[in-house]
Amino acid sequence: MTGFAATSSFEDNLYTLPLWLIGLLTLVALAVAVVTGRLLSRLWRRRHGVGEDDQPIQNFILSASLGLLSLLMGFTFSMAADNFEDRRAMVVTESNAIATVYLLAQTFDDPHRSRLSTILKAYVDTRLALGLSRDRATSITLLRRGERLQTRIWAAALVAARSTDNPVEAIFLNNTQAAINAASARDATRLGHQIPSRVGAFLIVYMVVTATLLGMQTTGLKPLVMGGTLLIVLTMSTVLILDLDRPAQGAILEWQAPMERLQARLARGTPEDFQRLAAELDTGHTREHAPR
Amino acid sequence: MEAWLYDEAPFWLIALAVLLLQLGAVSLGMLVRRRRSGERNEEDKSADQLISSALLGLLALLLAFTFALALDRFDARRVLVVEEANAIGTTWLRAQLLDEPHRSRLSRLLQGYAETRLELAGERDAGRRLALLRRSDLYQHQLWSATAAAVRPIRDSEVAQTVIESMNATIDLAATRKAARRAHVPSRILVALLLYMSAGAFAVGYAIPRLRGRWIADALLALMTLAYLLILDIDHPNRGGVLERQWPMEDLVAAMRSSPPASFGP
Repeated sequence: MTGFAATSSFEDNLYTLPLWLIGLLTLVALAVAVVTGRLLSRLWRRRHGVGEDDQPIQNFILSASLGLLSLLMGFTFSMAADNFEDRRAMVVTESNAIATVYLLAQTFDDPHRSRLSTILKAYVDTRLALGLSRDRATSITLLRRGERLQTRIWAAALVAARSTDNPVEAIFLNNTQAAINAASARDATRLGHQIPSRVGAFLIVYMVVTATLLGMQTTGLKPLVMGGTLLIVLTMSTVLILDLDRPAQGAILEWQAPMERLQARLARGTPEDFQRLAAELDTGHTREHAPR
Repeated sequence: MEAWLYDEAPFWLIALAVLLLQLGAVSLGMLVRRRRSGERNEEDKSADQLISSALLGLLALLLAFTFALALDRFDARRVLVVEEANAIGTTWLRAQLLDEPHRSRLSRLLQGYAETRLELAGERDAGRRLALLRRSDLYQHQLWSATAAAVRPIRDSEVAQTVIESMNATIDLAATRKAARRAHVPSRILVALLLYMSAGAFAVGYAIPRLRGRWIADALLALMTLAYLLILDIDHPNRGGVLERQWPMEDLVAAMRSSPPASFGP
């Protein structure tokens, strides 16, 4: 019943294949389509003879269909790139939020302070491991562990807020929530893809039909170089779009540097460090611009 | 009529209608061309094709921008699922700050509310959707009265403020989501696009001198019809295969079930 594990339609199942396999299958499908197109066109010629008018007509239809394809692909790419940028920003938001909670936790007295710090450190480790995980099963385990830690953080925060009379209590609780919300915003993008899978499937089907037209259009060996180049470029663009769209797969991965920096800082964890960080927060500098 | 077309007409029927319209337009174009004077010279032919390809170029741009528009709206709906789940989750966590019996009462109401919202998002039947929407409105009313009852004795505390604030945000987001799910690509645009596609098909038919190029043209039209249907599918929040995922909400409900108010300490 939980959402992470569910897949439903044919396209979704197609989407769980690794990227290289999708690329390879697409390329094979395109090659088969070109050959089919050639056979069809040869059959056609044998039966009806060659007409002078045929070639230019096919030309303008082929270019129209390639034109539409490139536009649709371009817009899908732009959306995938936007989402990629958003995810990148979300990593910064989340690690900043956790850092703030950690700093505010230092204003409580022990045992709350040390308890919160320990849980938060474990939490950062889990979140970073999730960010770096490329395996679906591991990711699901880490997501669940993160959620359990969130519950523990909130419970510890409530106990701390109730038992002491700390003036930053409300700010602390607000920031804890901000950190939890930042995590769930990221989790929603974690395992899947943001572009509807039907759009990806549509692009591939469209390319196959266009490749058939391309096959019908060409005779002899010469056009094969150009046609082949075109098909390879189209396949690469599709794989690039899918890669951009998947945070944990392929060559384009989510950027984890802010979380790694946070982990390193928490591990160092000297009191001076906290004071320096607190000073940065006081002066309104965001941690992003802080000297490394 | 328009509502029926939008909400109930099955996709295959729309697909068939759009495709037939295109094919009819090609045939019409070929017919008109044949009726007109006999042989045309090379210059005429290339002019025909130039104009047809210009028409198709513009059509491709229109289709692609409408596609982008639909995709943007889809993305907005997807993000709103996260935001609403976060808002409900925030309110739920803050409700744990309250004293009993308000704490359990609000938690219970919030859980029922989240379940209703989840069910509503996945419901494909328009009638049941309306019923669920009413139930969700009822829940909102109850949530607000429960909140008011809970904060009345502690009116001036910070806890009261934060609970009110997040409950407000929760209810607001439901309205935002409702509006986003109703914000379709304007139907005028979709109709205009269909007319434009037919004009393009007519031009293609006119530029094809004889029957022999016909089925290549048909392949192009099939691709355009496919693109058009994809736009419709993306644009419909409750129909077709392109639906926004409910992961965040599903996860929230699971979290609420697995950690009841008691798990946050006394």
